[in-house]
Amino acid sequence: MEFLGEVFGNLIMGFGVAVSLENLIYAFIGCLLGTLVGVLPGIGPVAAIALLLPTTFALPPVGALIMLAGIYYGAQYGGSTTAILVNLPGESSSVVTCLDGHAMAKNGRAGHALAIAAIGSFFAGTVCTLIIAVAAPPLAEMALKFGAPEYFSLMVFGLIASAVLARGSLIKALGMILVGLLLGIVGTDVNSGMSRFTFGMPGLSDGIGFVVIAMAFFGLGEIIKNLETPDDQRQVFTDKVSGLMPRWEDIRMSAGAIVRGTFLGAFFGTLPGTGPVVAAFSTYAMEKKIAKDSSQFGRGDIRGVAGPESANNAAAQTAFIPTLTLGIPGSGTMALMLGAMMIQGIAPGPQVMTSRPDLFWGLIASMWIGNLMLVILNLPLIGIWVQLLKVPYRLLFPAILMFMCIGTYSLNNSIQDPLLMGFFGVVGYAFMKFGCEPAPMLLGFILGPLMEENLRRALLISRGDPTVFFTRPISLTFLVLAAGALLVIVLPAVRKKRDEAFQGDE
Amino acid sequence: MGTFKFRSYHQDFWAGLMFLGLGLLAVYVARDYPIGRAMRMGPGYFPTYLGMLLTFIGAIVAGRSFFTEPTDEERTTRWAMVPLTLMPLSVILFAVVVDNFGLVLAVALLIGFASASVKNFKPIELIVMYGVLVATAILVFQKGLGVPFHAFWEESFGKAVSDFWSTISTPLRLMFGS
Repeated sequence: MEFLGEVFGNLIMGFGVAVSLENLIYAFIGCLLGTLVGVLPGIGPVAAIALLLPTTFALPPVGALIMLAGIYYGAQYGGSTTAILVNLPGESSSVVTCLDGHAMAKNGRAGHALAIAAIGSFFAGTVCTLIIAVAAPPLAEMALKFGAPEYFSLMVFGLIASAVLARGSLIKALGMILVGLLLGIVGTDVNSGMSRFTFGMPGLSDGIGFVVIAMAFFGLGEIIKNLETPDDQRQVFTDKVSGLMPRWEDIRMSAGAIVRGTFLGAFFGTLPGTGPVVAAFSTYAMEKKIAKDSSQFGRGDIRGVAGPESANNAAAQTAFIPTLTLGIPGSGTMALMLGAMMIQGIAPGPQVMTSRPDLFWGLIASMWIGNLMLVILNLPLIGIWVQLLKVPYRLLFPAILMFMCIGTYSLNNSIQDPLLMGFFGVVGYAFMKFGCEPAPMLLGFILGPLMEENLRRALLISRGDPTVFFTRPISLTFLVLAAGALLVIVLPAVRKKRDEAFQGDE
Repeated sequence: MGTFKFRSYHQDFWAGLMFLGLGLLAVYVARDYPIGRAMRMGPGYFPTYLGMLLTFIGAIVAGRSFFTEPTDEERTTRWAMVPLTLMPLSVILFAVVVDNFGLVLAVALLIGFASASVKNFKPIELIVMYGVLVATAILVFQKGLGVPFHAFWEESFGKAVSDFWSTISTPLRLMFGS
């Protein structure tokens, strides 16, 4: 009881920080911009967030974090709107929503689908904000006991898990992680002061910016890929969207799906890797299995929208838990959020909670505000999003390209970052053509320097003895989990299930 | 396991080759960095091991392509060569031009070259889009967010040309070695 009282007190403090006119405006702008970019077809949340990050750099830390939270949820939510109204989802976690959501839209029930997606997301967001508030402090306390070996093993586990949960070939995902780790250590080595992999270019001595890599692989590479197929294959739902007020009947029917989706999503979100995608897919599969009459799934069953959408949002929310308590991001989007926090001078990790409680609890409060803002913002503005979806891609991509150029330029006010983005965009496209997923690469890229540093420290304490990773219980646990994840995926039965899950359960 | 055969139409062959190449490159470049010992890791320690691991994975991925027939998803598909050339080119032009000649010209080059990669663009659309984007770039990013761009060249056109030349001549000289 005492513990819950403390959590409650902290939450109130957080709201005290987050609820000021100024911060509410930041939250509003963040949600608006996030949705605006997230709605655009062909742009997933990683590219959307990378595109909008530079706009927050000039703000004070609390304001910037609040706006970031708004951008994050807006980008996630915008993707769902696109999935329902257009048959081309902008991100992989919306693929499931697309199945029944777009079917509902074709049956003239787009409004109902959007409304239930909003309600489900908001419910999931509220529950998961509470989960973070309750779970984060004890986890952070535990994390304070972590030494370098524990961190290193945790990162190994995180990277392996992200490869296991990625789509496509496991071994290629592992390869991409290594590519990311290597790209991550480009620049000056902090310990020896030596320039590594700079190929004589002085501009590379500070390393490659994560925004540059994210924009190159998820923005530029994606644009080139989208231009492979002609524009007119996109099926936009252009009728007037009506029935935005949710019907009681719909809510009753999907309440169970929303609750189940929320908890399943909350669980998957805390795991490193592509949390929201797996969460959405498994919830859909589960709903289809437990439904008494599953004949309507794929043809516009509202539970097929409510469940995955709640799961998607729940996972997006609980993904903050490892990021905030351990300082280790579990996904590409989280890696971007982490990078943005670092730019604000906050090194996420167990110490943030005690050293800057205002920031920590303010951020958690702003997550809930962001969720609320989205519900209020999205449904009335749906007309605008529909108009936006009608913009043909041939007009969209040059605009995106310009924003990417300006965004990368503004990172260091130098032309080097856009040039690097151009180069890595080609690399990213090549990887995509060879069936290599960029998401594990981004995670490796962020964790590269952290991993090297913790490996170095761990081996220093152990006097060069590598068994240190196996003799410390927590470290051993992570390594066993990592090995287990690898073993499990190699077993043919599980492998088949995983492939099925990614097939979209058709 | 299928028969041993060279399959250039298998994505894994190329993916593996790429990993292999990058891994070897990492090991090769890192040979100049002191490895140190496990207890006192040098700057070469981590990258060398990563590079070796990547080489190993690349060899497996590429090797696998010799024994298995690709599924439909694993088959290589045509590269979109036109956008693949024009997108990076337009980004490079923007970057090279923006500092000396300003946003108005840089965005024009960017939009022009990028749009050339689609067949069905209409001139009027293009002009309207250009106007909107240049206005956004100047009003929102230069004036609003304070990114140090300028709309046109700063002092005189002649100075912009000479500055531009000094910007691009160094890399060109390095490349062609004169």
